[in-house]
Amino acid sequence: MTKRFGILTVMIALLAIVTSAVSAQDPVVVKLWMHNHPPRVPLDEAQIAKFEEENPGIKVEFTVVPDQEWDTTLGTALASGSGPDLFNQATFAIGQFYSQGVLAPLNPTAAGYADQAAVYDAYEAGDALLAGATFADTLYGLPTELSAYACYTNDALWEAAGLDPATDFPTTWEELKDVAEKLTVRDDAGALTQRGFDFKWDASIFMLLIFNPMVQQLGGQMIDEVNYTANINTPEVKQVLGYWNDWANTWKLGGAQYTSSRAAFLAGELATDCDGGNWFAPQAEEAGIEYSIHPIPVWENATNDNGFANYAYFFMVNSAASPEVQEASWKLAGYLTDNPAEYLDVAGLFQAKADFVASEAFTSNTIMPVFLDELAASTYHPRINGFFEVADALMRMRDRVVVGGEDIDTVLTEAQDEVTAILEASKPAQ
Amino acid sequence: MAVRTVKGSSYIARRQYWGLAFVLPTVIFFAIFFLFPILSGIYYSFTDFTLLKPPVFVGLQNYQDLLKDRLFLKSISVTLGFVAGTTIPAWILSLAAAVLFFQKFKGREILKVFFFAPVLPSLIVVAIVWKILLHPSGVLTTVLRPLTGAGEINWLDNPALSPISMIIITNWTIIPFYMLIWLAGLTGIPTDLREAALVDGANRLQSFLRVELPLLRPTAVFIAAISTINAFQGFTLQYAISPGKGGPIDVNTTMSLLVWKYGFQFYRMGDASAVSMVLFAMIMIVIAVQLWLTRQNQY
Repeated sequence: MTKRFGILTVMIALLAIVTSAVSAQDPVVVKLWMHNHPPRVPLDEAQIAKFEEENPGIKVEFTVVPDQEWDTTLGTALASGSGPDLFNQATFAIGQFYSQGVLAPLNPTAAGYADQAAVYDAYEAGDALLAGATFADTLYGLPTELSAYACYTNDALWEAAGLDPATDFPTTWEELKDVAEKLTVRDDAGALTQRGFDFKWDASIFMLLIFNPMVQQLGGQMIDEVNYTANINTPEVKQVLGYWNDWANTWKLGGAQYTSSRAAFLAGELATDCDGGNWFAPQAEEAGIEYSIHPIPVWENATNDNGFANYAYFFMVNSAASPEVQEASWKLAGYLTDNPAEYLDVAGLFQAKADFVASEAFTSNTIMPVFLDELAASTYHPRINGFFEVADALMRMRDRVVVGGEDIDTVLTEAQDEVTAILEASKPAQ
Repeated sequence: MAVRTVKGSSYIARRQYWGLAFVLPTVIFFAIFFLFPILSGIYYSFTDFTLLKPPVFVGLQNYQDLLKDRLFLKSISVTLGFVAGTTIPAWILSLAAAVLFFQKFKGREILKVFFFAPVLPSLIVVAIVWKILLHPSGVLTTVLRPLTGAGEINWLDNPALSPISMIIITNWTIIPFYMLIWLAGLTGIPTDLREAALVDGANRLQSFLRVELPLLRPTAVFIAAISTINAFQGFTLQYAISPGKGGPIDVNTTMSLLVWKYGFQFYRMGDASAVSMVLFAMIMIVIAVQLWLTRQNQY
């Protein structure tokens, strides 16, 4: 009996040694999810292959999720515990993710930096551009693409109207209205067949990406992301909302009912579009449009000269992943953000590494300096828990005035109350 | 005899086991894909659940919050409006179309194919096509210009017109389908009953109202039930072509769309589950009332 027990013990011990040896050789698996940006997919695949070759202890499971399904797929996956370890997420919902503890802080050494300060130093205007993923002085991501909007002009349409975009492009919103009128074409029945300029009306997030920065130019700020308070019933908001209302109803230069601005610009039906990032340039070229790029206008009575809001996609790491998977994830994130020239060249994605920005490849680029200026002059959109709900309420506010024809003061008062209630309900517990 | 009984029992038992075995995949499928989500939905409706954190039980709080939720209350009226607009007119028009196509006339089959065509593409394709048609200065505006004189009509962005546009598009896609069901019902009515009515001196209208229509009651019940359920679940069209997914000013935010909005846009899955439970209850009540009404005076 004792002999049998001894043999059994030895066998179990041997099995344990073999098993542990095998598991020691098992690679750490990193589940990486990216939203679908077709030009970057082959680039990512090539980089991941190189990364795995250089890091045999790490295996990457790479998944590309269609854009339309991203939020739903990621949300349900995280809820069920089957979410990715590393994912490329826009800053719009970052407040939501941060406040709910989904995000792991950056591991700078794993990502290839001496410390967190070195990460900020490695990026051009690092404090400003990495602010999108910085909470309470801690960095929670590495940027895969930084975006700011600038104005694209369809130069042929401008010239047809007797205007030169280089000299006639307006610097103020007041001037833009006059220029847009010259560029607007109507048919015999009075229907718009070409718009000079139009806002992006079709999704609520643009209330925080476009409308709010116009308020900021006047010295206002609709959402205080630190204190979770709303400042909507203000003269600044009233001025901007009045301008949007006049644009659609008084001057009849555009409105929510028309084809969305980007699609209209690409179709040659819109002479000026101010909601394109640098990624929009290849689309304009593909559409056969000769374009030039200009800074976002400001108000004549502006106190700030910011453009529209910055936003970005950041690599973020799931805090539910094990420590070794988190470390491997940050290592992969550092690797994938170490080729900014290639990502800009092949995929049109801007990763503002300081050495790249100083390089000939960047300075000789005809459009990127404009976007970098816009990024540097602007700030991120509010990064709050409840971002989409607030945006939805602001769009309702806009439509009640512009589409519903309601009294602006009444609407602003009620919007103030509604957004305040949303922010109070969304404010993370201290 | 006893042996035979045992043998018989064992045979029956074996047959029962086989029967169970054949039914089991369906039962498992139903349990996983229907029962489990329904039970999960009921549970989540009693929780504070953001998708990003584990759910926390809050009792009836979500339901209490819904009572003062302006968006939810508006979604009920939007849904009821959509249900009213896509059921009763659809029943009447599809029945009229069925009666028309039940008559014999030249080119009937070809016309029937054309009439049925809107059912074939997916609703999302229909939505895209209609979005183009409903451009402010699009085809529909141009066609109506001699009547309206308007250069542009805001079919989708006008708070009054937009829900009507949704109802028209929906009816355009569902009426041919219901027409086909009515047609099947009409075909199933024995010809001698019609002939008997005519022999007894009834005219065509009287024959239809007194003989055929009562016999179509089972078909009517079926159409009423599925059209009501489908209408309450209205989502795709509102999601795809209404401005800002449910706009303008939430006039197209149906309860189904609100479930999506709360769950996947606002990360309020507990509230979304509560809305879906209210929607579920509303559908059950309406269907129960419909069934109860149709049980009266049954032939």
